[in-house]
Amino acid sequence: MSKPMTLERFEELLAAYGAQSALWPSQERAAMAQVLAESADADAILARAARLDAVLDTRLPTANAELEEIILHDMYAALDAGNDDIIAFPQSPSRPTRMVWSMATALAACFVGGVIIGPVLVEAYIGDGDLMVSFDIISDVFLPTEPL
Amino acid sequence: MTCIKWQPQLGEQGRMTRQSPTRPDAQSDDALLLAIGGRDRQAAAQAGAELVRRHLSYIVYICQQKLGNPAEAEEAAQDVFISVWKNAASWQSGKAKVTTWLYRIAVNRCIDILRRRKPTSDIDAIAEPADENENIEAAQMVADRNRQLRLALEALSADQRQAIELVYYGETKQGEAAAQMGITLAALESLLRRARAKLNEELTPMKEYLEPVG
Repeated sequence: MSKPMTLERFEELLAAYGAQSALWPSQERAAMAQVLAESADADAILARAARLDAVLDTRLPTANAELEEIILHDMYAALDAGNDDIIAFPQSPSRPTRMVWSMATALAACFVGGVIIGPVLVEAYIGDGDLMVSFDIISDVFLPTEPL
Repeated sequence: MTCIKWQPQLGEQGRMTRQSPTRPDAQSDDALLLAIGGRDRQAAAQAGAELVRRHLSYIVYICQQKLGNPAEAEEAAQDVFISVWKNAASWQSGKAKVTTWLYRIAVNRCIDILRRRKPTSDIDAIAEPADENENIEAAQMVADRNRQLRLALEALSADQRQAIELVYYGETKQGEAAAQMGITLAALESLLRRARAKLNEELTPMKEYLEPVG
């Protein structure tokens, strides 16, 4: 059976390990509980130690060292490039903006296909020939002749 | 909600009397940003490194709160600092607190990531909460407390700090911690006592803040 703990020793241990019994030396924990059960002052002393523990527990987890290194690498690159040359992270546009851009891209594709590529193909096949003839040729070449 | 204005940093005050005021670790966040945006590359690099050291945990914490995913939170934190490097030159001293500015950048970046993650969801559903000021204030307190605590821990001697890191934060068994440090159990206990006494003194304003309201 363990020796009874004095209030003085209880205070010493609290001052070293704080109020969480899990952090106390295992052989002292039973005596700690006994002091708390028997002494009216022990609770108040424990509460004081718990206040410091609560403050220590507010520490945020230390950031990943590798992340810190990457960020510093970005910083050196930015400083070398000059702040104006830094490429900002891509901002994804809002939905309405995305829709407008999608439609504009589709229209641009139609324009490129119809106005630019069309005449190039006509030119390649028939030179300066009649436009209607060129459409016939294009349809002969690109469209299926057999019913689907 | 009670808002505690932290006094000039404990511990930092003492260090400032011994060190040159131009050292990055003795400068305010505001001064660091001005240095980053300035023309002296070496000073900018030192100030940037100090800003990262001070606030990276805070930024990752904010992003983690918003995104709930550690990998995305780290990606967002990297983007936040890219934005800081980009915009430091246009920083206007005194207009806002640096931590508030960082919070804003972090939240905007998180919203952007959430939009990217859920392209079919309603954007309004992932917009900032109505009372964002309260969130900023709460985040501000987290940043302040973390900084205060970091400074108090840095004010400890190297062996005191190691003892606290091992036993309190690392939950290392006393015997193992003493062996790692090459000291006796009694010496470890004494070291921890001195460390906690010093922390107790340095962190008094924080303890008052954490005191339960009766």
